[in-house]
Amino acid sequence: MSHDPRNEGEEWTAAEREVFRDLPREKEPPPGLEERLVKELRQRGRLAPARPRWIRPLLQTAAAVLLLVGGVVLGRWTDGAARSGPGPEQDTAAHFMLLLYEPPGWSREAEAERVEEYGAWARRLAEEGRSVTGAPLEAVEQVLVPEPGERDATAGPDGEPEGLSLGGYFLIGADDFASAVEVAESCPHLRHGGTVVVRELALEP
Amino acid sequence: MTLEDASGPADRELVARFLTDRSEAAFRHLYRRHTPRLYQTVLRLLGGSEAEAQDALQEVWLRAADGLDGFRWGSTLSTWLTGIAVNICRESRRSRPREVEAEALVEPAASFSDPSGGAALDLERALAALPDGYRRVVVLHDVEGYTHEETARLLGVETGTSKSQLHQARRALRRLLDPDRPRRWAT
Repeated sequence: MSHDPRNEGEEWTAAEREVFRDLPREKEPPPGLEERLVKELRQRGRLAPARPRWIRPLLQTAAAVLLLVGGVVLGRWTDGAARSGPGPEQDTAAHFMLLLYEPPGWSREAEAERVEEYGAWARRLAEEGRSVTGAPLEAVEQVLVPEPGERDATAGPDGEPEGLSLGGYFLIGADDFASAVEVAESCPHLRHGGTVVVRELALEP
Repeated sequence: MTLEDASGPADRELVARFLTDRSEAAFRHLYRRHTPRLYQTVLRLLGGSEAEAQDALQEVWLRAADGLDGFRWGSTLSTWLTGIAVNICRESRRSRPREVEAEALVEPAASFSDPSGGAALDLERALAALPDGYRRVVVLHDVEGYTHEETARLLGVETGTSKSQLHQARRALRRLLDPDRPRRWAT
């Protein structure tokens, strides 16, 4: 779109046009609208159904392991200060996984600085009273793929976002998906060109 | 930076994923990229009614989801979504009592950036007070920056009609922004 200089009739002065330009162009919608919309679209068949049932036990097991391990073994990104908030096993907020993906050519040279930066970010979250734990992941991995026909549309052939490799994770507490995304948007991994995927843990209430 | 230049996959790629695989991730990406601007536009088109705007915004996305397979990229996705928003806002207002349209003014009003005219509505409130039709054309052309041709297409009218409506709308807006100036209602 572009402003048409060939206006006829009532023309705004330069000062008046500036007032128009200063009007806000964006406004955040109320929280919850996105989730209602996704739910409605899913009901209408416009979105693929939620993950296959068989993967829930896998996630529950993984979540249980993480909660146990998170309470005993500290990752390189979170230390005692970062765990000063309520642990995932104590707080009542929902739990979300932030999966940190790295694009091809991801540099290892600045790894030490990134570890420090990610740790500082996690400590800030903990100081705000949010449960958080996380760690980088070793390079060796085993990717489990869904059954044929149920593959995640955004995944590459081996189940991960195409072209990216999983480099680390954070497990955080948040009131809802929108809040978790808001937290994830501040994750320094994004500033370094990485991708962050947010998923809610499918835990039994 | 335009919406299309925002970080992440391009709109075309996201739309393709949504259509081909019904990807929730792709839809959420599109939603988050376009909603802040879309919501502000809808809110302004509806005169600041938050409740109405939220319903309209949801309807925009539901219709977009239904209509994306027919979208041929003759415009940006953002413009296409705005077109849907304009139609939904117009439909929303059709159920309300007809408003009396403001008639032509005697003389152009003082500039609203000039305080010498006395107290006046600020621009946002003045836009909200405009009749729906006037508000639509001013929001699309003067606020959102669409050309006359684009504005006309979005409103479903001829370009000349859009220009004429804008002329009248601006005069009405000036009158709202300068309430001390004498007004005359056409009979």
